[in-house]
Amino acid sequence: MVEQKLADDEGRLSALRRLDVMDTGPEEPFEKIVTLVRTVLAVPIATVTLVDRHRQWFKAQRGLDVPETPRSISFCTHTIRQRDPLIVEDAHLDQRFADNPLVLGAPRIRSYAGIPLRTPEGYNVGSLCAMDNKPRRFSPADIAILSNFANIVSDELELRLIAQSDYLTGALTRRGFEEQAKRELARHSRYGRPSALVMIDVDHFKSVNDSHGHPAGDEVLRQLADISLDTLRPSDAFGRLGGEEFAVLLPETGGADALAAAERLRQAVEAHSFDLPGGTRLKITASLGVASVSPGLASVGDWFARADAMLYEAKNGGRNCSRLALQD
Amino acid sequence: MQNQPGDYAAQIPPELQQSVERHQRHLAALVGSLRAAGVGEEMIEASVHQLLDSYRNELTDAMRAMVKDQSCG
Repeated sequence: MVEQKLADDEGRLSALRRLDVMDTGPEEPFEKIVTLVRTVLAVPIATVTLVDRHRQWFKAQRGLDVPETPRSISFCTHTIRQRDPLIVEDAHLDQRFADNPLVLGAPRIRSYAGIPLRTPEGYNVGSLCAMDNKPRRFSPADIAILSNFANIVSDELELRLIAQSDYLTGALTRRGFEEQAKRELARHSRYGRPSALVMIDVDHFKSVNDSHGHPAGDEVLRQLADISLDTLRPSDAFGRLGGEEFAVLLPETGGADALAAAERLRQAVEAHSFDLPGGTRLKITASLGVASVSPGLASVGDWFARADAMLYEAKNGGRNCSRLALQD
Repeated sequence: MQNQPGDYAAQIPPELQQSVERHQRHLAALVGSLRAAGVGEEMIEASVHQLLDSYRNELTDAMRAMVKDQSCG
């Protein structure tokens, strides 16, 4: 399972997206850590590097004068493929890096130590790196220090993730979900990539609370979130918008496929027996509204409104069904 | 006199508690590895202060965001 995650670059990229950190400005914790790494290990270059699909981007760096480089020439793309630190004592003697432009030209990396930055889900999203312009042997003590700094970088990244997770269900909070939707809409505007939004509402949820109590209602929401996360792809985003209303963002998915995904989810909910505290077993259904992204959408608010209108249609259509908005 | 994360224990939402504890463990491990490498106490103390300060700021931001989410939800 662990090794599968090392090979799952799409899942890794989704985990990176969830951190909501790419292309953000300088931030104190990371700036301090690279300064400390440079000082304590006495290296001229230290970076917190995040590895995107086609580039490595420096969240914080000392000793470099570029914000990013192509991934294809990065040392870190090798680091994230393993659980252990990547140590290169002399790049000139390592066939993977001997003719690397970052070795032959600026910043003339000669030795490198990189510790993978691992998310709580087990994906290596980047690495904490120490680099020198001369050959160097990194001692076990150096690696222990760098590894402990890397753990603290991961703590800082995880803190953001926790802050945007709904405590009851583990789904993204409304705020976190809206941020993801904004980025997806921007991606569509820039690259014309397809994407779809699904709004989900538990049918007759009030009666669950009224008849079985709020703890039972909470349990239904928890189980519905589990079913959804099991049904969705790692690249999809799942959020709780409030109360019994959830939403899913399906990147790279057109309207028809999104409707099919919504139907799979609806059927999974319908098939599930919700075991509640006290031994009660309930059958629950959900209604879903689907809207794919389109040039006619001026804002995330418009996109949500379009999916919400479809959810309303699904409710009016008798519940336990999905409705797809027609394209402009 | 600056507050340490532990001083906030009573205010920290349960969903952040584990993260705070983990951070404290990682910080302790870092101190251990710095000492083992022969780094001076002054440098260790300065490092810990800097890391604690920035983590506390991030933690406060996270708590603020969570309170905001709860009031919106």
